[in-house]
Amino acid sequence: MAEEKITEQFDTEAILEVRNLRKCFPLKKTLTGKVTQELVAVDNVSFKLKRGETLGIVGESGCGKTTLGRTILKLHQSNGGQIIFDGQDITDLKSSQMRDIRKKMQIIFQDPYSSLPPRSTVGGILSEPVEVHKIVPKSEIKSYVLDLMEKCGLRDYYYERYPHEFSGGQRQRICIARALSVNPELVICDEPVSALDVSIQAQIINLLKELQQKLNLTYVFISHDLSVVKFISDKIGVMYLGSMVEFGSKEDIFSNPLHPYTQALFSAIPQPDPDIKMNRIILSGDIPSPANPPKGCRFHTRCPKATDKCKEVTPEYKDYGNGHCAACHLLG
Amino acid sequence: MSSNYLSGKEIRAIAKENKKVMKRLEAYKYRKADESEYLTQMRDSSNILEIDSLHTYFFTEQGVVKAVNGVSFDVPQNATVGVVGESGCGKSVTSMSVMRLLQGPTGQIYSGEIRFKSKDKDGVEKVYDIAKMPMDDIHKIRGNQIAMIFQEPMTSLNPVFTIGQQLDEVTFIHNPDASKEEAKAKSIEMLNLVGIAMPERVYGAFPHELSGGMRQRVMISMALASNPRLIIADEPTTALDVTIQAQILDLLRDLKTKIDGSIMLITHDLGIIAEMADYVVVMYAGRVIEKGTVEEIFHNPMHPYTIGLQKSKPTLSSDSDTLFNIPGNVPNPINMPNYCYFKERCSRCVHKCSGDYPEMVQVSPTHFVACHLYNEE
Repeated sequence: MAEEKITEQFDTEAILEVRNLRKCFPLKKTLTGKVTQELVAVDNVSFKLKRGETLGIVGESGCGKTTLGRTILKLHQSNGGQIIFDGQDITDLKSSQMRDIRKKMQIIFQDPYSSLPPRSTVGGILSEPVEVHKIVPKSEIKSYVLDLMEKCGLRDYYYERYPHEFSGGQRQRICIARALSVNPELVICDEPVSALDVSIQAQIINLLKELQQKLNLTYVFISHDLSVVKFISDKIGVMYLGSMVEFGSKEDIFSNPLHPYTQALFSAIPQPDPDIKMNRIILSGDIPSPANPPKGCRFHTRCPKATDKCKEVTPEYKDYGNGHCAACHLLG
Repeated sequence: MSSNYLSGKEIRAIAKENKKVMKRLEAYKYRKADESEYLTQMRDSSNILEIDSLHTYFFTEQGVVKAVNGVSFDVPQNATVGVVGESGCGKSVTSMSVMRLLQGPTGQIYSGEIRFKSKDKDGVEKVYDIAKMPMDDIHKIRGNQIAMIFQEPMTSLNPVFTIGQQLDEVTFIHNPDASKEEAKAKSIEMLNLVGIAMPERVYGAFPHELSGGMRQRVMISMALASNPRLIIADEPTTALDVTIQAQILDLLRDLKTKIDGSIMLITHDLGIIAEMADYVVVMYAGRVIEKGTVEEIFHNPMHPYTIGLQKSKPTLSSDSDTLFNIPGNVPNPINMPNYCYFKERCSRCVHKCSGDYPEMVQVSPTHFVACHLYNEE
């Protein structure tokens, strides 16, 4: 009964809502199994995503963006917070209960070379999820898969071929086709283009955009490349050391970045125009270890504008109008 | 699709042919030779490195891979030359050929000249043809006059030695008379130069204790330890995060003025090239398709591939809805066609493109392009 009540409060427009999500990995355990030291990979992340939108998540390596994606899919069990998918709280569902929901949320991995089984043909790879989830009757599987391959720009004679016969771009197309084979609503793209060349990158990004319009998909697009994220996203979240430091619509984030980290991140990207000589904000130092994050604001060790307050007090994650949120003391 | 697999007979025929060529080239590589044999003259005395129709082949079981197929470009003194291209276009193999680091017997410089103006301790300038140098003499140049920064800072340092031991080694190899104290002082000075805080501590640390950015700084300091005249940086920032990348690029720019040398920067990122380079060389499938100054390449690109490459990269300033994309893939490096390698992917293909591979056309004193569209005859 209590569960029913909560469900009613959920925003029906949002396909995915994440509230104060937290994920820790144990580093040290005592003999009795008690965790004495842990790494907080995702700390207090909240956002809402509407159907048909794309959320881009950017950040440097080790900032927890991949863990966030995997925790949303429940490939990792979260340690706190809520994940609400399609009006249903899926945070504490058992894996048997998850099976039906898994059909609606899929993932595309970063490395197309290691995410395809080398011993099955493309046809086998694409038919298996269709068969397991009983998407179409058995007799129609082959025609369904061929149709899907055409949608993703794969020729029909690839059906009998093995993954090793393909180039990186083609393999990524196979991965995309596999993710789409069960008609998902939400697709998490974990750095889908970072292993590819520029000209192939453009092909895959265009394909993802085209499929989104055709099938009304919702994407969570994880990437370290800001220009790619800008191109594909409607909303952008910037992560640093496990927490979301800024979140907002693409226009807001790019025209008016609030957090000093976002500003530095933008200025660090080399622009392909020799005439633009940017006023670069060069951050000193490295990213601190997430196992031992700094006190107060996590960015204060590298922030050019850090004050004494930043070293002591963790800034609050607040909305500065129009859904543009940031966590920084300087914003008042 | 039968050409995907070779029959046993074909493989044996290829192996026999390869063995003959490899044996000849290996013998040439390890011959004893007098210095006069590989002394030569520069075409233009303001250049430090001139690569002239370099052919580097890999003799594999499937056939000969022409990884570098007639590459020519110059590196002027005190300039940064950016080499840009997609993976497999031969940009790294070009740099490996200059350093003579190709894995033998499979990888061989087949023909061509690499002229390098070296300067020994007494300040005497000599021009060597690196492609003809026997391996016994290569140490006169490698690591000493030309240094290389590799792509993977994680794997290019030896995990079982401290940073200090690895840095000292460079000094000892190029200056055998140096004492331990001198070597250490030099190493710490180098670490200081690349902006490492607490160089004494890093001197005694093992590579695994350092972050990616720090390791790349150590690699750069190692490259600088012998005052090279030319630094080859092979994708120096690809494995690093953007904020760390900005630091390293800043450092490289700084160092170029400090050491008074040239940089050959290899990357696939057009943004880095625009920011760092004075001259740009665009490579595709083992050939140079366009070269010129950075302004020429970015403001007036001529080859359809260069134009496509620039349009297909999403930028922060652009607002278009779909990205331009070049259809298709890079062609198979074995059995390359005779006509323009870009023909199948090119949108501006003309009748002539089915003919011979296009010659380099000069469009301005510094701007060259290999495309039939600009060939006036």
